[in-house]
Amino acid sequence: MPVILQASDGQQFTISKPVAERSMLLKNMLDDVGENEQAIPLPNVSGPILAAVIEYCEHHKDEAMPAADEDDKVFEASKKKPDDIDQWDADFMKQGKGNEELFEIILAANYLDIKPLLDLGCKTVANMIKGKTPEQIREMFNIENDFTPDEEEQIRRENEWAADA
Amino acid sequence: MNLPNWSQLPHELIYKLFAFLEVSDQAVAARTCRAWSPGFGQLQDLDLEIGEAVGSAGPQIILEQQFKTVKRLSLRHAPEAPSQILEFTQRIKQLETVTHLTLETTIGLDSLLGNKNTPRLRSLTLIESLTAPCSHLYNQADVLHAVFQKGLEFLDLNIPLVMAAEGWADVDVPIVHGLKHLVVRSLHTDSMREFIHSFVAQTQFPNLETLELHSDEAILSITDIAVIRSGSSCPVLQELTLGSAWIDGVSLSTFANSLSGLTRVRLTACDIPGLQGAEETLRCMLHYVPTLQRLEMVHNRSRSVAAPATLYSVRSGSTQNLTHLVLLGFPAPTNSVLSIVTHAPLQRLRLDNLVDDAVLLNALPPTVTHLDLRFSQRANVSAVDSGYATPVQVVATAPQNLVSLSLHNPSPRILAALAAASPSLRSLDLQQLQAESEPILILPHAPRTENLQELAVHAHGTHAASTALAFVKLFSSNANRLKKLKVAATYPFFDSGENGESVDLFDRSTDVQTLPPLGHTSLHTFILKGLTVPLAAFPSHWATSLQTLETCIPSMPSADLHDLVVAYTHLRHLTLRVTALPFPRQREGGDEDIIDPESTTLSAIHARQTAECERYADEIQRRAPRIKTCAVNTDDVRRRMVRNWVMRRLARRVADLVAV
Repeated sequence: MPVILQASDGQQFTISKPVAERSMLLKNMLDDVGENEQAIPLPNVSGPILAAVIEYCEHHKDEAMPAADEDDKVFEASKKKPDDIDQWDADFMKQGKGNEELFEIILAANYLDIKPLLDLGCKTVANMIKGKTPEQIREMFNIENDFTPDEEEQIRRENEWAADA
Repeated sequence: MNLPNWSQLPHELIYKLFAFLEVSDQAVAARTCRAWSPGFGQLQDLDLEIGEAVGSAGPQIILEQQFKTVKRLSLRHAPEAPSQILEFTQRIKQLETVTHLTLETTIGLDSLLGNKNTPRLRSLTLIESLTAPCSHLYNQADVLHAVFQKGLEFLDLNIPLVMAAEGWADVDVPIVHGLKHLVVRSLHTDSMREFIHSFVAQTQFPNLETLELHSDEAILSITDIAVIRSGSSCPVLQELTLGSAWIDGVSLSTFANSLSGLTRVRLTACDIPGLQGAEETLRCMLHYVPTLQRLEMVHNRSRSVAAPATLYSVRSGSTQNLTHLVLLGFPAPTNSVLSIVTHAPLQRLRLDNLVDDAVLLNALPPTVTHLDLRFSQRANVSAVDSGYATPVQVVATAPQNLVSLSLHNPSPRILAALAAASPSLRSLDLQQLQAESEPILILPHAPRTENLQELAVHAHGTHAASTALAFVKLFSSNANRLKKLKVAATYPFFDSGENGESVDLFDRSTDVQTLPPLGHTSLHTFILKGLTVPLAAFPSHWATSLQTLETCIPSMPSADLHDLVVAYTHLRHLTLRVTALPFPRQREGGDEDIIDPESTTLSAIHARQTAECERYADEIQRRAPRIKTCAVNTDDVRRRMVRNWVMRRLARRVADLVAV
């Protein structure tokens, strides 16, 4: 039974159930209301972004779902490594996606509760931030500096120890 | 679409984003705007080397204001400012979120662990090193008292000097609640005895499942083991690990008997009485400890020559629990071990000193997923097989569920049967492939490599490079998911040439080879050692996939390399070996004298070449700043000179002998 999704601009997408279930939001919804021919409205996600998210879910539909929070494993330190990005995922993030799309994809992944896609988006941004200066980061992400010079200097001093950590 | 303002990202997403950044990048990103500044400190793991900068910020700022959510904290001292770490241990107040702590000092520990401080701490690793400030001459009982009273689950004591002093008798903790895993390192004979008889014997460990004792050749008697095994001290002990201990006992069977009831036993570099062949040892262990799930015996020895071992019969039930078996360092051949474990539910198996034998394949348990077999040098190659040209038959009973396979010095039959049989194989590691003749490899059908992600091939012999590449071609052609590829070739010291004269062939890494077609779009690591492939011949699609590259280049600077580092947009780690740096000429007739226009000694030449390499590495990183690590190496010219000298002497000697 296919699932129909409707983006904020009215565009509709018909996808299979395993693809929809990559999203925990949709999975819980489908579990609760059962299968239904009506389109599920997603007012927070635009058509082009939803298309990209569906492309991601299509590609990963056969993979095992990631385990729930692994923090409680006592003796295994799970370090977060932004370098560890699958090749397909890296290409997916690059293809015609500017910072606007990246921003929207992160928000959509958060809203739809697709943890691997949210991680992928955050890793991509983290890789862009690495080794840059604050000014370069502001420019790249359209961030306005709302610090007074004194405040910025104070933060710089407080965090200075970490520069060579 | 309007340009999004990233400072309006929801708070929880800002935190999540910062969790992927290193501490140094967090510090920079936090300075961009107010909304992002609380992101600094969003890390669960924090390793601090406490030097000048960290020390001057102080524990209050770092641990009580900035990194309030740290779970796994490691505090190490910086050698140039050893006592700075004390600022931290003395003035850290609470550490409410920390569950795992690694600490390179033992001073001030009782206050850190006492009262309501560190309420969530479950795991503690204490390290004492020579330069760190430690309390080894006093207060050791206080330290140990505080540690054992804390209710930890995991404790690793790597504090040799505390153990050396007499202090265990003063540690008065009748019951150590909660502790599941205890590791004590650097015990010597006196401290081992003290630890067992003055502490373990007087204490109850109601939850202790794993005990690891790493010693420095300490003598451990059967009586000592009996104390550890007594129900009043460690009633639920499952695993015993002994490292570098001298087991003082009458025979292997008394030792095995003292381990009865355990499910996991690991013995490494121990001296075990009456230890003989792998089969006899395994039979004896299974006879006395039929509960075993995991047995690892690695490079143990026996100082006494024992009487002939009793060959215990293995009852049908005594291998039913065995899932992990590692037996290394036993005398060859170890094949007969397999006859005992054929029907065990083994998942992981590592054996060395095997001899190739048709029976071997039929005896491997079908449940095995991780297999590591090392064959000892085959004395008479031609008697066993006739080279890689022989068509071989796949044995139907080879394990079908292999995930990881490692083979050292395998015969073609073993290789074909194991490597080609399992469709689930993800990692394949082939070492010491014999390459004395041109490779002609015929397998009955194409290997099943559709899930292969890592492939490593190493060949040794006069045709090492072509052999290694032939195997790469064979195993990579259908491996569409390959991520890591490693190719290595090593060459024999001597090779008898066509005319019967010996030619030195030990370094043929400058011989240029061509790569087989490698169409994998997923490959991110490529490592090439001992052979040279022109950079221009690398597949063009690697430019958008390769992250780690290690290879040889003939000379520097290299124009091909400059093109490569610009084109390869994903490259982060680059290691290069320059194979053909100008070698100093030698004066006629005098082997040891060196003539080099610029340098007078080999050390000077070596220093100059090393400096050139370092400068070149810096230059490459300037050309491609996205490369995080870049290393350029070359052979030590001094070692090459000595090698050449030895080679010539040996060749002359051989020629003399032949003439006689």
